[in-house]
Amino acid sequence: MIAEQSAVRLRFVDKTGLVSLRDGRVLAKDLPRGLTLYDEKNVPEAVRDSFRSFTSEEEGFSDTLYVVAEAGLQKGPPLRIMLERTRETFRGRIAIYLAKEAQAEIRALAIDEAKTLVDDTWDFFLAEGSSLVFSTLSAYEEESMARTRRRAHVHENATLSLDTGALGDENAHQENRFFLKGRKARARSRSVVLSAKRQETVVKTLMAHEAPATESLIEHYGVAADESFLAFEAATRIEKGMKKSSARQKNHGVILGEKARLDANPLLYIDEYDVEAAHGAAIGRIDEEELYYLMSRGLTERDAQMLIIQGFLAPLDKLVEETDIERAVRGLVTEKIGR
Amino acid sequence: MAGLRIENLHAEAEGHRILRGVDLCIDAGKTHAIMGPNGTGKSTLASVIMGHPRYKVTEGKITLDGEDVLAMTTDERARAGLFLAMQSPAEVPGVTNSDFIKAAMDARREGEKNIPLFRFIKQLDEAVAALKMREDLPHRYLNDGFSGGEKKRNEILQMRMLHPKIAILDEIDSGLDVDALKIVGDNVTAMKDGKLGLLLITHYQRLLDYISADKVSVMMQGRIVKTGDESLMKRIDTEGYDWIKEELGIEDERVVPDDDERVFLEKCATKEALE
Repeated sequence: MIAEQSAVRLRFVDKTGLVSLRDGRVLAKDLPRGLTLYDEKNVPEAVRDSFRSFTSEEEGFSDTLYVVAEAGLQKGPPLRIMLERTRETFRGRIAIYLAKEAQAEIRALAIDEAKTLVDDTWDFFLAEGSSLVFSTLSAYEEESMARTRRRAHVHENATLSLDTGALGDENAHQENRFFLKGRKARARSRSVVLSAKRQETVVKTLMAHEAPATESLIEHYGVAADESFLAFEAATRIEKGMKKSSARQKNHGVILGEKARLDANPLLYIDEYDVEAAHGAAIGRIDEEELYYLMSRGLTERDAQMLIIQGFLAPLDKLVEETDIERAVRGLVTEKIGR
Repeated sequence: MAGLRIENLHAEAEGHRILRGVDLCIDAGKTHAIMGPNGTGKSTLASVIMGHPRYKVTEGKITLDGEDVLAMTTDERARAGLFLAMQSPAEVPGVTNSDFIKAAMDARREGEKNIPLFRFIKQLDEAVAALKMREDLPHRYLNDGFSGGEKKRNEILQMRMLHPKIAILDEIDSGLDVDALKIVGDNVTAMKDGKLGLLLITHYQRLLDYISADKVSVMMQGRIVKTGDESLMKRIDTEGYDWIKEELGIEDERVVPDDDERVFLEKCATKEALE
C-alpha cells in the first residue's frame, strides 16, 4: 500500500459517460441519459434566467457551458467531466442546473500540464426536491495559480453534496459559497487539500441559511508539508427567522515539517435562537502516540507517517471510487509528502 | 542463552526518576510474570523496553539475543522481535486494521517480497475467528471506537500475526470479562512454542489462571524486589503486598507521580461577531 509509486497524474481512462473539454471546447461527449449540454447560444431561457443573479457582466467569462438534468431524472451512472487548459486567458464557467426532483452525480477532474493561470467558476442551481452529488479533483503543475469559485443556490428540499480534492502543486484560492434558499434545503461541502513545497492554498467556504429548517455541513481536511501555507476559512451564517436550522463545521489539519503553516478560522454568524450549530478546529502535528504505536509494530517512521496521513485523508477515498483515479490519488499523496 | 536481558536499568520521564535499577531476564521459551501495586513502574518498564519517546534511559542496558536494544529505534526493536501489547493502544482513524497489520508484516520481511495478499487474508481471518472478534475487524479503523476488551484482543491478534521472539503483555487482563480473559489466555498459551519469551505485567493473579508462569517477580520502587515461582503469586493473592513491604522495610512503594495523566487540548477558535 505504501509502495513507491512513480509520478502519476489524474486522468479518466474510461470514456463512458465522459465529457472532455479543452479551454471550454467540447472534444468528446458521451452524456448519461437525462443530461444535456448547452452553450450560451442554445441554452433554454429558463435555465439561463436561473443563473442570472449568480453573475455580473464584469465577471467576463470566455464561455459558459450548461449541464442540465431534466425534471424527475432518477439517479443513473455519473457524468464525468475532464477539463484541460492550454490558454492562459481562458476563463471558464460551467453552470449545472437540476430541474425539479432531478437526481444526478457529477465527477470532475481538472488537469493542466503547463504552468499557467487557472480561473474556473462552477455555478449550481438545484430546483425543488433535486439532489446532486458533485466531486472534483484538481492537480495542476507547480507555479500555476488556480482560482476556483463555486456558487450554489439550493432550493426547497434539495440536497447538494460537494467534495473537492486539491492534490496538485499549484498555488490555489478556492471560494465556495452556498445559499440555502428553500425550506429543508441541505448542503454539505467537504474539501481535502494536500499542500507541500512552497505552495500557498486558501480555501473559503460560506454557508448562508436563507430559509428555515435548512442544514449545512462544512468539512475541511488538510495536510501542510515542507514550507507550504494552508488556510481554511469556514463561515456559516444563519439569519433571523431561519428557525430549526442546523449548521456544523469541522476543520482538521496535520502539519508536517517545521516550516509549514496551517490556519483555520471557523466562524459562525447566528442571528436566531432556535438553531443547532457546532464548529471546531483540530490542527496539529502527527500524534506522537499514534506514531509510536505504528512503529512499535515494525513500521519505519516514514511508513508510519504515510499510513497515518493516508488515513487522515480517507475522505478522499469516498470522493473517488474509480480504481484508476484512486490509485493515482494514493500515488500523488506518496509523491508529494512521502519523499 | 537467547532472550531479553535487562541490567541495572534506570529511566526517567519529565524529570521523575521512575525505574531505579531493574534487573530482569526473560529467557526464550519461558514466561515471567511481574506483579506489583499501582505506580511502581511496571508499565514504564514495558514502555522503556519498547522505546517510548517519553522516557529517557539514564543508566543500564537491555540486550536481545546479545544485541544492544537501547541503540535501536522503536521500529528496529519491533523488527528484531520485540512486541508490546499495550495497556491503552492508540486509536488511528482512517487506517484500517488490515492495512496496518499487513504493513507491519511486510516491514518484517526486509529484502523479501511482501506477504502474498491471499495468504495474509487467510491468516487474518483465522486470527479474527480464534479471538472471537467481529468479522468486519479487518475493515474497521485501527482501535477507533473499539471497546476496552476489543482493543486488548486486537493487541493479541497482532501478536499472533507478527510472531515475536519476546512479547510483553502490559495489563492485558484489565478491562476484560471472564469470557474474554479466557479467549486471550487460550490464544497466548497456544502461541507458546518453546521459543517465545513472555513477560506478563499484571495486578492480579487471575491472568495466571489462564497463562502459566515459570517465574513471578514483584516490582516496587522502580525495581524488582522479589522473585519466586507461582507460590509467590498465590501468597500475594491471599495476603496482598504488605508482607513484602514489611519484609523489605519499604514504606512507600510508588515511583510514578499521581498527576501522571496527560491532558490533550483541542484548539477552539474564537467566535467573532457578524460584521
